[in-house]
Amino acid sequence: MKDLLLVIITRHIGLHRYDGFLSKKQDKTLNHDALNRFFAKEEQRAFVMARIALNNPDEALDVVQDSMLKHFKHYASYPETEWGPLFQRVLQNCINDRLRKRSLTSRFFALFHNTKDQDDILDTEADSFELMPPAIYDTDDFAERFENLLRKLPARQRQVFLLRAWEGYSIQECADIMGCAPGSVKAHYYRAQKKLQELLTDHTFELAGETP
Amino acid sequence: MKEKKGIPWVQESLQQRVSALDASTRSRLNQNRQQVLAGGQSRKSETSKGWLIAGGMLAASLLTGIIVLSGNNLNPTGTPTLLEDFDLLASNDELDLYDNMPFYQWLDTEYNDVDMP
Repeated sequence: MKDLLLVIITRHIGLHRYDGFLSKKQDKTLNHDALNRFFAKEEQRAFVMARIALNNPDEALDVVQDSMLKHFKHYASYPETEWGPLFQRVLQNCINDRLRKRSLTSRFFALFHNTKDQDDILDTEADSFELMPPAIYDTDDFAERFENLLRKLPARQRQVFLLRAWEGYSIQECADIMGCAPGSVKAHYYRAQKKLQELLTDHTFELAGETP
Repeated sequence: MKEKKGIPWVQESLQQRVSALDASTRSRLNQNRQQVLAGGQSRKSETSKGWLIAGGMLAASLLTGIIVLSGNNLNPTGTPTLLEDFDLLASNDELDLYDNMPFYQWLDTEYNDVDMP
């Protein structure tokens, strides 16, 4: 009954699947300095992640602030070591909520927006696949182009890719953050890497001035 | 805490995007963080409060306008206006008087007619 209430409450505030975290003991001492340091460390990466997903800097700022607010209200009393994945979960849910609202709005106004892949859950086992780096990747120009390439991925694939490849979370951690099965994470990650490899190959040709 | 891995060249590229953030964005992120830590208030909720206050004031103005207009006999249908209802509630007359209003009006007319020279 208690667990059910917690799930209802957490769903009500826009967060999902907290079962893994809610059972843990909470440290009741609020530490503003520690939170300040944590947010200061996370906010810029979180902003770039939200900007990649939403392709709108203002919305990305709002999402980061909403995420900090929710984290502050609900998880400030948790042990600091758990803040990272918890903040990522809140951030990803906030991004998903934005995308969902945008999708509903665009459907309502009959504007074109492809949301097909957002709910696309794949069960296939992902083979081991290593995304090969392009020949030149340590330039500002490539970094900007790479951000644009990431926007071409479906939402769930992009989410998994950023959590795995950038943030370095494990499959299980990604599954906890995204609220899906580890098998789905593997499949999305595999698909994301394959798609990126194709895009990067095209991108390399584009940079070289040739057609693929 | 588990050791984090990731793909080094991806991390390097995206870290460049973080480093490339302009001063304005960094400043706004910092302001937002201070706002959250100070009172747990978001910009959005402040905006919502502002809209609530503005909406309340607008509703109050509309209500006042309706009362004033109905008090100026702008009701052509002959139905009782809101202001008349307030008069009715505030007066000390018996409710029976209002129930038999047509009779008393007729009586008043008759009485006046009789008294007229």
